[in-house]
Amino acid sequence: MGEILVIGCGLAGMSAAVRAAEMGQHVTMVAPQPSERVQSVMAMGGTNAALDTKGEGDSTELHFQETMKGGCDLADPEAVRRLTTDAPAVIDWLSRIGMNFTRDANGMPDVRAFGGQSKMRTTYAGARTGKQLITALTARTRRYEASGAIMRLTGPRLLALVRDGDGVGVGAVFLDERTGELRAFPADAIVLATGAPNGIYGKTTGSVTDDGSASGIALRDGLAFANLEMVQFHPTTVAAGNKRMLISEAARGQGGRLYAMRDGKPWYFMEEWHPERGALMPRDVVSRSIYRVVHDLGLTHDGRDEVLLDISHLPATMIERDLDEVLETCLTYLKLDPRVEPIPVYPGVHYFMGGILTDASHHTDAERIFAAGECSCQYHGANRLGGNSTLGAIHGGLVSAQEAAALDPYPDVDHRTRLCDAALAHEQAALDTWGNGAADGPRSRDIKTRMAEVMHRSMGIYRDAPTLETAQGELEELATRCEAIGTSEGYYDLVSTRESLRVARAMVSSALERRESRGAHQRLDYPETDDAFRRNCIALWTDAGLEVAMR
Amino acid sequence: MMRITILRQDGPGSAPYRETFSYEDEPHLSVMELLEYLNKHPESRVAGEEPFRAIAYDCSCEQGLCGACAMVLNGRPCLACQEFCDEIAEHGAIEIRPLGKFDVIRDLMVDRTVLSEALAQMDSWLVEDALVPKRSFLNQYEAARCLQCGCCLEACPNYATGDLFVGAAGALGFMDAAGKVPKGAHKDEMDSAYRKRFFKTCSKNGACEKACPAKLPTMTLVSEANRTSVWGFWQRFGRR
Repeated sequence: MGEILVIGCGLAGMSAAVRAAEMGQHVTMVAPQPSERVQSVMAMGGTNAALDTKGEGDSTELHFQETMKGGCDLADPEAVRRLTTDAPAVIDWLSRIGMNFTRDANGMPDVRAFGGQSKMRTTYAGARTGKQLITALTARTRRYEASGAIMRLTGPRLLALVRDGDGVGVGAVFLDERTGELRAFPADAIVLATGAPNGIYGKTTGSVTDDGSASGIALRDGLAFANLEMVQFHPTTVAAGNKRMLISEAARGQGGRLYAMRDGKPWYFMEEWHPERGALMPRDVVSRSIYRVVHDLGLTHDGRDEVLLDISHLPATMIERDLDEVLETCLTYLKLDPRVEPIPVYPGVHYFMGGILTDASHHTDAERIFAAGECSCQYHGANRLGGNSTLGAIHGGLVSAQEAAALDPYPDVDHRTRLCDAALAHEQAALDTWGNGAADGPRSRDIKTRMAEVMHRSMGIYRDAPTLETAQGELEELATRCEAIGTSEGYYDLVSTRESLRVARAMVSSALERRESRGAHQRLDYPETDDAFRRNCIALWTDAGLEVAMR
Repeated sequence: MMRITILRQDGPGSAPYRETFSYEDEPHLSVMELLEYLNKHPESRVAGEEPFRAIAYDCSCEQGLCGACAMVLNGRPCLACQEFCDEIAEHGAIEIRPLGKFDVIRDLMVDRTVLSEALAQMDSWLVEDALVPKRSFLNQYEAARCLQCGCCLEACPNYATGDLFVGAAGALGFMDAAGKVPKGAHKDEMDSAYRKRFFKTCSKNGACEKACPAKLPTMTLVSEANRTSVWGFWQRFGRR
């Protein structure tokens, strides 16, 4: 029996933990918060699988082709092949563990239309698919917690990966933010399921817990990252208080229309520009179209940079049943009733296609270290299709666990223990040195606010070299400043700021390196897609610092 | 101008104290945004110990989907991200304190481990494959929406920390799982746990439903669970 360390407890983490437990492994699952609080609960739309239950002639081949095309041919075809082929079996497994899918008249999980897909392929559970998936997986995890196969630890944050002399992953060190205590866990395999680096943009549509520190640590500790420049702007987000909230693609999937007022009349620009799919084009295309309408054509809404999403023509009962999350968000936060009024929307940062590079089996470039879910990169290329994120996270978790379970135990347990003890001592010394330093210093909050401003300005829907180069300089300066964060703040504030800045710097450098426009990455100075760049943009942190190259 | 009072606590077991803030900016903002504002503007504090320590609270989704930011606002348990200052202020005042039925970690952060422990004690999981229905699981869908925020327990007159009674948050996992578990030993264990740890004590006064920020129909779900796991159980004896 092997010891599997799973870091993160969202869809990817719990899928990995449960599958490893099913295969007789012992799992330690470590995460800063309980599963109810993870970003996965915010996923509304659904989970794609070519079930072909509507007689439309859908197939896994078509799911494969559309995922590749939606990702502008940048995704790993072998990984996408495996994902789309396995998808129906993933849905079946979810049904068997008790997922409350919305079902059709034949008792099958119902499917609906989503962007970039020619067939109805997105299974769902009302308007709260992510939450329902998490509840089902949490219950499954609980069963193995009760039997002792899974040990769940809530609170600790990743502080360092431990690797042996050959670079093989042997464990990880964690910091409990609340108690200040450090702990190391040795393992035969590590699954990183740490989510998105949202924090580098300040607030996104996602969770604020996903600050980017885990990604920064993985980068610092030598894992190769791919395509960090690929950041998805979801076309329909709304300004609510201090963040942008998502209006699910399901709103358009169910028949919602996008328009701008032109000469006093609604102009359905997506339907004119893309008659076949209209507002259900892939997200990068819709976001760029909105940008064009607002900024190039100057068609704003009440003087604000927004277009309108109309679902008021849809039956109220359907909105209340299948889009209740959209309804709640509008009623609570915008004081607007979408059953009678259009929703003012604009693109917002939503998903990171890039991340820790894995192969189709979810191996990273370090032996015994796997990565799954939004922290990783393999399935989504230059643009992710709606409904593929929950699928990718669950599938990635399952595959990682299967691969991890197939490994022989680490050969030298004593050596591993010594390495983990040494890493723990090293991290403790760093903490102590900082703890004996000055109380005053720059505030992490100010540095993070500045980083977010730099990222929004330089890494928006359109980019160019001068803006990116300026951003690079500003981020370097912030990275230097953050080293002086004093003890009036928590140690984790320092770690979080330093590591999220590391990801931000790698992201900007990756955007500079990709001198073409593809999917979510649009360069004003290189507007064409260039086949020479149909490769991964790899970011690697070495002793010499950050290295970025196309490979 | 709004007067904000926050019940603060430096650590587990230490003595709570009050701090008052004076807020004079835009009044239509969520309590979550207000807390962020106060941390950014320590000068809005009316009086207190020097130096200012940032107010600690749990936060993840900021839009009512994750239950992290449950706290008590003017005596009412709710999610800070869903409540707006101008709508909840009473005579220009808002009192913010942590949920009272859990141990405080720091300020507004509480230790809600008892919630997951209760679900484990209720055996709320499936051992075999789920019974898959011919139509959607409507009640189970509602039960599975539970945020595990703890607001229902705060409001419940029957719930006291450490008692056998698990309250609505502890029973909802059972309500999601029960209809999918095939008849047999595990189902009997689950039903028995439900009767002992929920049915016996719940007085069905509906405070949980009123307090639920996710608007779960807990009373309907309780009736359904009683029908299948309590009355069904007694009928089985009657037939013998």
